[in-house]
Amino acid sequence: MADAHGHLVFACGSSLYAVPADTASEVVNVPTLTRVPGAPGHLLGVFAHRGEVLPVVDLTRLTGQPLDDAFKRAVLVRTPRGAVALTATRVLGVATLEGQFERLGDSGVHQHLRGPARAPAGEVAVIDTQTFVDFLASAG
Amino acid sequence: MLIEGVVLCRVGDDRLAVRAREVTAFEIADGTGLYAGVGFDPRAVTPHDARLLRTAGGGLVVDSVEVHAEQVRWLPVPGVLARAWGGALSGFIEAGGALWPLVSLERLPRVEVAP
Amino acid sequence: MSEPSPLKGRHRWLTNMSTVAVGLGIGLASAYAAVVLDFPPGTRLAFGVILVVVSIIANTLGDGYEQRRLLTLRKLGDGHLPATPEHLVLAAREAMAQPDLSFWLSFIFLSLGALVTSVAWAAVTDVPALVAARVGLIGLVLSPLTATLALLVSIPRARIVLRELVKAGLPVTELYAGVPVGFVLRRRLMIFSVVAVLSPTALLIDLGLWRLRALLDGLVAAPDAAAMQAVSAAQQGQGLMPIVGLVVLMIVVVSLSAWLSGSILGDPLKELAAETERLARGEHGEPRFIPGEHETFAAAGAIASMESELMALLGRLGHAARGLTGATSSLSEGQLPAAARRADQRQSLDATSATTFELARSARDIAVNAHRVSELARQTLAAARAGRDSADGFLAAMGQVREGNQAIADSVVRLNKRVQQVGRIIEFINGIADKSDLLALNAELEGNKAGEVGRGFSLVAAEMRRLAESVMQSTREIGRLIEEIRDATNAAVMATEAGVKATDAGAALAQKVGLGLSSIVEFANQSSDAMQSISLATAQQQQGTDQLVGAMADILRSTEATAAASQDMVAAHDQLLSLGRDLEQTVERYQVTR
Repeated sequence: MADAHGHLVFACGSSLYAVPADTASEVVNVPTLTRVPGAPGHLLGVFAHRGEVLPVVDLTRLTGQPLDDAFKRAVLVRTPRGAVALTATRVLGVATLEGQFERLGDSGVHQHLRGPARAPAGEVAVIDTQTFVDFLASAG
Repeated sequence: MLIEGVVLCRVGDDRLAVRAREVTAFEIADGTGLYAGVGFDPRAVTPHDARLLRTAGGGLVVDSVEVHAEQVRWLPVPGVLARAWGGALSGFIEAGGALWPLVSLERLPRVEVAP
Repeated sequence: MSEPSPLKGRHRWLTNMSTVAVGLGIGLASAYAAVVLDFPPGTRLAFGVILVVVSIIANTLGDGYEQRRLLTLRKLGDGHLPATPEHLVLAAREAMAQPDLSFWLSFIFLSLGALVTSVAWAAVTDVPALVAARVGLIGLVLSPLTATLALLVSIPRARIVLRELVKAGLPVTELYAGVPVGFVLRRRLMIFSVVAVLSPTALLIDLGLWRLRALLDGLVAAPDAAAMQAVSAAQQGQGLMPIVGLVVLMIVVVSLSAWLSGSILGDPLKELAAETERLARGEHGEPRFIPGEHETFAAAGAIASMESELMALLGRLGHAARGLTGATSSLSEGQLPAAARRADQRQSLDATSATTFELARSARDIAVNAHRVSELARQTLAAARAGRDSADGFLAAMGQVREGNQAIADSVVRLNKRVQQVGRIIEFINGIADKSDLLALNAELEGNKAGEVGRGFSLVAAEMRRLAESVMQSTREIGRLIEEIRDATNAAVMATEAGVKATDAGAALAQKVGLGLSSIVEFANQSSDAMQSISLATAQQQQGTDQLVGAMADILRSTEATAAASQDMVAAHDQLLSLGRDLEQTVERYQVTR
């Protein structure tokens, strides 16, 4: 999956993640969210952005390490299935990754993480955005 | 897209909207029926002075209601939320500068309501 | 009443001595009459009986009247009346009037008694009218002297009763105020002198005339010269003893009366002199009761009221002095921890930066207020040194100093507001920098997507991100410094409640802020090319920096001025403190003994 265009690397909690730069459409500041009834726990809420309703997903809740601090930024990821805003503590920027892109786990969200890859900032887990968004849609 | 005739409901610190045509009557809640707060927090408890939105099949209990006569913008449900609450989410309303989740009462899980 | 009153029986005790004096007078008169009168045979017994009967009747009547005039005293003694000040004052009036009353009663009853005795004697027996008249004369002559004696022996007893009334709970000042006296001393002394001279003289004249008359009668009745010689010899043989004896007795009585008068006048004057000497030495206490009559009573009353007024004045003065000392002590105490803190803070101060020059504006306000407080403190000192004895003057000056402190506290509060203003500006800059960072992030992303074409764009965006990051670092640093300044000024606000405070740490931090701001400006300058594509953010940032510089300069100047003003304040407070102590010591010299 090494893409010539690079990956957008961001920190979420104590872990580093990356998404392919062509699936990352934007980085935004997280505003006040509207909570959605019947939504799973990792879906913090939604907000309107450029005439579109975007769901906000907290990776730390999916990996089982929830943080108490509010998130400042979110990375907007677009797939054919839909758009999702992933919370980030800090967005590092675009980088070229090296290393492997194997599946990092067999259950839960880890099925959709690839690695271990390396960015200048450290070890990252690459998110396979397509399968990840599919997974989120089915979990609701 | 613009739609007309929504009922804006407050549920604790949260909010949702319902299409007016789905509601047959507004009543004082008597303890029966599904409390909408459960959708946000499974441990939510129906407060005093709650309102029951009676529908053909049952009803939904909310904290307070406000009928919104003007047209409002409707936005579609993002793909990730299509299956939320058993599919009862049918979109989002923009009213009063905020988003209101639009809930379809017919598709809610059925709970017995005292007549 | 469970126990007998100490005043029990005093009404009787008071009048006993005058009865004795009257008895003495009657005895004297009887002795004189027995010696000099020619009692016709058979009339002696009648005379004795009549004399005794009249004496008893007169004494009973007189005593009864006297007791009626001591009714309140008797009731207090028997416990029929409570010993309230009103009753005690009434009893005091009765007791003080008793000596004069006994004088008049003795005089009237002795004179009347003598007349009645002589008339009754003449009526009952066939004694010659002249002899009976002489009895009356003797009584009349001796009655003023006896009455005077009765007065003189009553006075000491009346004084003792008054002392007991004071012990029973009559306040001394009320006693002096409640008993009116007349200034009759001169008249009394004149009358006494006249009586002391005339009475013995009259008796001697009477005795001489009687002897002469007896001689002449004898001579006239003598038939011849030999008989005349015998009469003359008999006359001479009678000797002078009776006369001399009488004269000596008279002298003794008069001397006794004079000595009694002297000591009655002298004792209270001695006590008054001792009391005023005590006052002059500065020993004060409750006013003492000094019994006396007429002028001496009035003088003692005047001294007692003067003493109580003086005590009240000293009490007020002492209270004011303690209040002054207390206020200045608490002011000085508030200064001491600040001095220690100042020493610590000074260590972290460096020389001030030129960019904080404008902080002088608000510092001048505080310097003016501190100068005004120092001026008020000087004025207060001048007023105290001018020797005002009114306690209100001191307290008013203290109030003015407190007002000055309040003005300084207000200045520091305004200072705090400016710091808050600066904080808001920093927040605003931070927001801009954050948005810039976001913008740059997205720009970098887009540039990356555009591939080779967008590489330059990505580089510019990355550069902008670094700029925004450094700006945010600086604002974080400034935010921390602002918090420290806020803490320092909060401590200053609290400390100005006790006085004026300085925060040198604020000046040091303000200098650091100035340096931080300089680096921001430098960053902006260095990256001006990159920022030109986002000109709005740059312009806003610059404006915020200028406002920040201005506010920081204000803070620096005011903290420096308050440091100087605080030293003046400590000096002024020390002076006030020592002044308060001086005053306390002066008051303490007048030992208030209770």
